[in-house]
Amino acid sequence: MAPSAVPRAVATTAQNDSDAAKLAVWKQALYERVQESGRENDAFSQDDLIDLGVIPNGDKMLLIRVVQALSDDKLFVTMRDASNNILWKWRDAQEAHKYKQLDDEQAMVYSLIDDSGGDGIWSQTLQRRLNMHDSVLKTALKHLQTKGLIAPFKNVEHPNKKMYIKASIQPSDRATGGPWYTDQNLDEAFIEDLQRVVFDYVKNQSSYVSKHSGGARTQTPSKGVVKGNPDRGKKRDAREMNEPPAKAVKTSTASAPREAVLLPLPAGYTGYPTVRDIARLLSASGITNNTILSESDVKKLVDVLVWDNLLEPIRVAGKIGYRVSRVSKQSTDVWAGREDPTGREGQPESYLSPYTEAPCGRCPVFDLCEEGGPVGPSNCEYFKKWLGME
Amino acid sequence: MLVTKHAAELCALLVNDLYGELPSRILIALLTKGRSTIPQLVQQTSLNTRHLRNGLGVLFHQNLLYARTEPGSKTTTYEANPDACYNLIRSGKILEVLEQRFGAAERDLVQTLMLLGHARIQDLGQAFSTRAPQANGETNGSHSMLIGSESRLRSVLARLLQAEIVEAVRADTFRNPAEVLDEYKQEMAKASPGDRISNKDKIVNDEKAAERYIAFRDNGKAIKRQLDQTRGSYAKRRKLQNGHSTNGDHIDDDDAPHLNPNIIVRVNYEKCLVELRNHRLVAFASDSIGETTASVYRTVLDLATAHMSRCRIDPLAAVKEPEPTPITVTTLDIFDHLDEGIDVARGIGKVSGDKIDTSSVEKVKMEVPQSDDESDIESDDDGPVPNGRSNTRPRGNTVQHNDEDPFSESDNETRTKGERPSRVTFDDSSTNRTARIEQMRQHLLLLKDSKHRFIRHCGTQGRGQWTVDFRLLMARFRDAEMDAVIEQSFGRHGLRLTRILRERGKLDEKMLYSSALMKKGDVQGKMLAMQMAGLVDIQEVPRDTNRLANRTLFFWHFDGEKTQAQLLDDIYKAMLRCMQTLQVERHKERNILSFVERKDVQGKEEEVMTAEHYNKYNNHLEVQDRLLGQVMRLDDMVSVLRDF
Repeated sequence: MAPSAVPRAVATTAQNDSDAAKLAVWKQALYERVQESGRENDAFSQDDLIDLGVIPNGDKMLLIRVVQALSDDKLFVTMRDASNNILWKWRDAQEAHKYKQLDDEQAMVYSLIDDSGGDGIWSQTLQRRLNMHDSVLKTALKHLQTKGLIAPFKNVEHPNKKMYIKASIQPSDRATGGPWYTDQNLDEAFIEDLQRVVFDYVKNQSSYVSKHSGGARTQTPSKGVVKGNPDRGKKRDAREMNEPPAKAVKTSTASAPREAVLLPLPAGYTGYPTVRDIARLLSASGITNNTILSESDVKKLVDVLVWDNLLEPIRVAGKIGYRVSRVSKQSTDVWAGREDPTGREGQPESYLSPYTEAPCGRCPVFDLCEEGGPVGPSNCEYFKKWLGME
Repeated sequence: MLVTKHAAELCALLVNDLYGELPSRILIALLTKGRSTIPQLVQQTSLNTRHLRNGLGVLFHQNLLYARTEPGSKTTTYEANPDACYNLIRSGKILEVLEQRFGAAERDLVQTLMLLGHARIQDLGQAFSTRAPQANGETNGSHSMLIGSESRLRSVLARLLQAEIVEAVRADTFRNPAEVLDEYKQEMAKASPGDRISNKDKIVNDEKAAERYIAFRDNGKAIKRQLDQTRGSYAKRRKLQNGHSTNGDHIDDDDAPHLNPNIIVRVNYEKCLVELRNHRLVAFASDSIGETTASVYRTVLDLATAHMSRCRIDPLAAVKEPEPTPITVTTLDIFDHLDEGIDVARGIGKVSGDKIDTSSVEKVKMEVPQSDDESDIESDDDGPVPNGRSNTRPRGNTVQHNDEDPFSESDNETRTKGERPSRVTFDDSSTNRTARIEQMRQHLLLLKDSKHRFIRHCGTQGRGQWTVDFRLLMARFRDAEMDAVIEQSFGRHGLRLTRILRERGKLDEKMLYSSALMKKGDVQGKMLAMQMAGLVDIQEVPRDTNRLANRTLFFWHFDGEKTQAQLLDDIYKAMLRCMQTLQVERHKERNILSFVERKDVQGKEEEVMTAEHYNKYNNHLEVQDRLLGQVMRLDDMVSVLRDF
């Protein structure tokens, strides 16, 4: 209970002394009861307050007096809901104390800043809501600042706006941008590096490194596969004996011997890393030194990689894991920590479109290109270069 | 089909390239002016009637025209068939795919048919009989052996007819199908009594018209049905031949069917497109999973599309034609047709058996998924799990995935210790067969589990039934093609932004940069660039009636259909430019080229030409290969975006 509330109640007129004392008791009881109900941000209607059972016999007149007294002490905040019913909210005693040292204008300004919470409020919004004179608002703000009640700060969503926030609270994640922001700026290098780490990790976890060189069908496996007669049970025509063996299917013709290649893992593999696994890796590795990444932050990071077509989600056994896209085309090198931007080693390999590989797909004057026009097939520089005729 | 400017130019250029300038000029007139009669064409092209008739004759013979003679009047109207014109570019590809699928003789026949446009069976016989003894200096020594006899021709033709690669031509084949449908609709409307037709009647009429249209369309297949009855269906025969191309020329000769020599036949491009689509999908699977898996997929597709006569539902008959019931194939079927040269043990990594969740792998999806959302990822409903199979499946089948050198054996041993029931194998062919089926099944499961969902596990009979949802699969394929273009034109960030918009719909800018983890300025720059290119657009939603900028919400959105249409036209243009560049090159080297064309030079260019000229000629050939190769690759994209 606020210490100041009691002396003030005592200081009312003499004949109401006992009355005032009673009022003070009820005040305290009601305030405590409301606090106990534990609903920090909940508003109480008149009926709610009576239902709390503090006011005897549901005496509405008495309730009004008690609530009025609490409001005077700034311990109750009055508000209206959509259908214009009056509601009350309780306020912390220390906060109430702060309010009491302010004059009217300052209190109005402070209450707006207080309401805006962790997101802060723009000075223009303050002015529009309060309809105050510019200079009055400015002095009020200055006063509040010198008292250490409010602080100016920058919101990443509106970097150019002058915002104020209560000095006692931390700006919300939305205002600071969460872990992705350093000094109100999006830390792109940090994000990019983390993405590479995540990509490498998922790639390693979702593929099988085969060091076996050679193409897909040139060598006979050492054991196990086709011994004996593979054709048993097949309906074969006797005439087939005269024929040469069936032609190889074109797609599987072997390419030149490669070094290590990545192979997909069998369907139903349960070891694909989940968001939680990735988050654990990041926190264990300590790359994020001071910043703490929550699981939802990591999810955001992974989502972006999915949108970039680098990873793909896969649901196995009721949980969503992630695996790398186009696994057999990816290189076995790591992507993270490469300085050289031109070297493509380790970078994710994405599907190349034939359209953009030829000059037309990347032509800056493609819209103008017309036979007989300023640029056209007969004088195309890009085609010349592409065909190696320079 | 409506044609854009670039598509029309491309068609004309292709015709010009193959059949000369005269038909090309007529085609341009037809494409730009629409349906015309000969007098109208005379006016538009300033050609005289004789030339015009010659040119029209060529176009007509190559099936590049629609023609219609009104029964009352005796005038004939002509209309260009842009689809057929475009298909000219695919001839080479189709031949290649057919050779792989059927064999050299079939390819030869189709090639001849392509050259002739359409031909009577009798004439075909003559063409081959005159060609056979010549075989003059063909590099392909076996050429003359391919189709040597009349009966051989008939059997090859019958095969192609049954596979729907070749279809019969009638007089009304040359009518525009849309027009035919319209006519049926009008007839229906006339036939129904009363002045006004209720909505319900109209629907019934439309359906009847569509029914008649389907009958009209499938008329050309009558001969196939006839053959199916007398010779047994195509798939059955294929099975008997064990999926092998008939390379020997003696197989079918004995039972060569009797074909009416007066029937006129031509290539059915719609079915060819189905074959091309299979080819393309296999390449796509190879790209996203791996080569071995792709070769298994090839077998699945061959089986699943054996009776599929077109890639998409004919839009004209859509009211009556239901979505084709998906064709299912069983694991055993696939296995019986699998090329035994394919080593199915390769291409999949090894993991220990306890890391595999059998129940989610073997989940069966009976229904065709309605849309292409991520429901598979989000939803929690577990479909029926075929308990019979999952129990008997050897969990440690990883043993068979043995593509490692023997040295890794010990490592392998420790990884899969204990769980290897098949370790104690009897060297028995049936065990091998079981193991091989199991390995192949692994590839099928991998295809099923891919994010593109190449196949769907739809039943448990015959060790699992599989089907392909082509409509959805192709939609994903189209998206993948589009993604690649976007990524390479606007970078990874551009792709990211469009993917976010596609997934979430219309978005405020703030949402966009917070989910993309990008700087506001970068997002704005990227979005602006993409807006200029027509990929994304902005929608304004005013918050009040004043429409002030600061009281308005701005939402970005991505228009996939528009982007696709635009991309398609850009690709036409790019193809056109490639062809034109080739023409420019040919013009530049015209002296050398005309020299090379001489009869006494052909075949011995190196000896006759000077070194300098020979080098130039070779360079030109290289340039030509490069340009034509690029055109073919662009055609792959057109196919995916438009036809498949």
